[in-house]
Amino acid sequence: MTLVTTRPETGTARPYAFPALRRVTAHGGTVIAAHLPGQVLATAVLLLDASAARESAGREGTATVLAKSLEEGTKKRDSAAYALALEGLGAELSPSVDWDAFRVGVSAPAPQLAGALRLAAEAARTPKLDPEDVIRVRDDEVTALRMDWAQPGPRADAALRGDLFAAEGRYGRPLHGDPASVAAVTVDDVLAFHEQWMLRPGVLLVAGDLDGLDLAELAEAAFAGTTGQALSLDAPLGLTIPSARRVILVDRPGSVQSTLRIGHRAPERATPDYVPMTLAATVLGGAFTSRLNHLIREVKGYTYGIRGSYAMTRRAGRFEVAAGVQTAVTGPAIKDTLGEIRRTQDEGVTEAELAVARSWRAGQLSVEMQTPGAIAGALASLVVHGLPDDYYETLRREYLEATVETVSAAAARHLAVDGLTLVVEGDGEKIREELAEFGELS
Amino acid sequence: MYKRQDGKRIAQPDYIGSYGVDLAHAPAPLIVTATAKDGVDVETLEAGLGEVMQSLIDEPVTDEELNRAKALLTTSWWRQVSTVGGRADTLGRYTTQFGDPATAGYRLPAWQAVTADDITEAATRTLQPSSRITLTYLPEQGPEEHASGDAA
Repeated sequence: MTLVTTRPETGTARPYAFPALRRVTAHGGTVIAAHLPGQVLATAVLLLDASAARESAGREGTATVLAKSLEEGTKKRDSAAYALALEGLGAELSPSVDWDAFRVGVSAPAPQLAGALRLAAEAARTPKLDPEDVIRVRDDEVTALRMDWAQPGPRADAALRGDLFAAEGRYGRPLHGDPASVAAVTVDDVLAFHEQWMLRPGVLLVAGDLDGLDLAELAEAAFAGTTGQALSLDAPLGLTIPSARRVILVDRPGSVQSTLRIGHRAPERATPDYVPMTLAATVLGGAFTSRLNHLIREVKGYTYGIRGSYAMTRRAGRFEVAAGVQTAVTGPAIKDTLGEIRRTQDEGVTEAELAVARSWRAGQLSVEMQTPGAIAGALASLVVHGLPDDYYETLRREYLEATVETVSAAAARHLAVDGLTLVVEGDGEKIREELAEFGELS
Repeated sequence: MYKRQDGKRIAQPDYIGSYGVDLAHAPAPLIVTATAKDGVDVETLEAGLGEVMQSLIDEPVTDEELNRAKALLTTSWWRQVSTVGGRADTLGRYTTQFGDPATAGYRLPAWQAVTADDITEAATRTLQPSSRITLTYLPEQGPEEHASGDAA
């Protein structure tokens, strides 16, 4: 091997700076743009208040079918012409749905962004939604979900969600629906969802070199022809944690592994405790060196990997531990898992553990925000969760300055080992009996 | 292929594509894949693909086609180098394949300089039936047995 060059030494860390933001209001919508000087690619994301939470009962998955139908052509051009127009600009469309929003993203070299955004808006506002196409997309989605749901995991996920959010309507059902609910989605459901939720202006997020981007032109592309006002925001769902543990067995006869999904509800993303909670969860189960992975994988050898984390959306959050363990050690693995959760809740974290979690979380923040697409995603979080413009700079500082006391206090406040729901998907015949010791079994 | 009437009738739209495999020390294969629509036999599909490959030799690509390909390659190039990890991969790849990381700097301008004639010339050199190997994957069971393999 030839040594091409010597590796440069690391320099002194510069203070982190999130890109400068500009705002434009036009045609009833707002543009929020992050300036990335010298960046050739640019991203635009249309953020619409048309999340999965807007779907009707029994038709969960409607928004996902709509998202996947957007590239099937528009009122102006068929799917092939639409694909050619996008490709001609070197652009890529990425529609997606989550609990908080419907996003239609597009990225392209900066000079082509306005054209690409016009196409994205054309698909979002005036999709063709030919019945035959919608049915084909829906059937493909049902097939994909059936394959997915035949694997261990999705049924357990659904059981945990169903239990934690039993009283919360749509939030008690899977984000993208299940095979039965998607199969029940009709063409009319998709058309009605589009008509009802996708035509308000929304918010446009832009990330790129703003010296070469005309925000007024982008606003026009995103919002022209839209009608209606932004909807008022529903309050967070609130926090309920049961007084006793519950155990749910999802039978999977003959399974050689038990899939564990153990969790309880947690605050929504905008909680002021976000930083210390995240650090506590990192120590408990957020990294390879975490307490859970160390004990259950490295010491005991029960699993290939076990993770614990908070997942938080605008209106709801949850804490969850996920793992697949060998059937024969299902009981011992659960016992050890609960032990580490209890230890973290009762005793908090140590300075040595927190030092790793701090630098990892703060470092990941800049690793995760290198591309225009990632910056646009960060802007979306600001909008969805109502966070200030200097949020990411503050976030980094808060990670680095978090103390053992604040993180341990957050662990005590936001872990509830005695209020957990334990979902175990595995061979019921072999594991049912030993599960009873952990809580009321259903 | 996807755009041709014939293509639409014989191949499944999401299962058709072509790509090159970059190899440092061996001739690099160009791979074209397609999956037949239900009821279309393999010979028909293979003949359709052969026809499209021959068209690259016989009919010059249009400006529109060429510009579209360049636009897509330009975006994917900038996406690749938009992260430090992507840049490191790129430098490593060009060092391995060409012995000099600086050769990465020629890739995008070289793509942008390609003409329709260059494509005809390259197609004539590389897409001849005599230099082609075709692999055919066929289901072992009948279609009825496949259809009943529904997810539990």
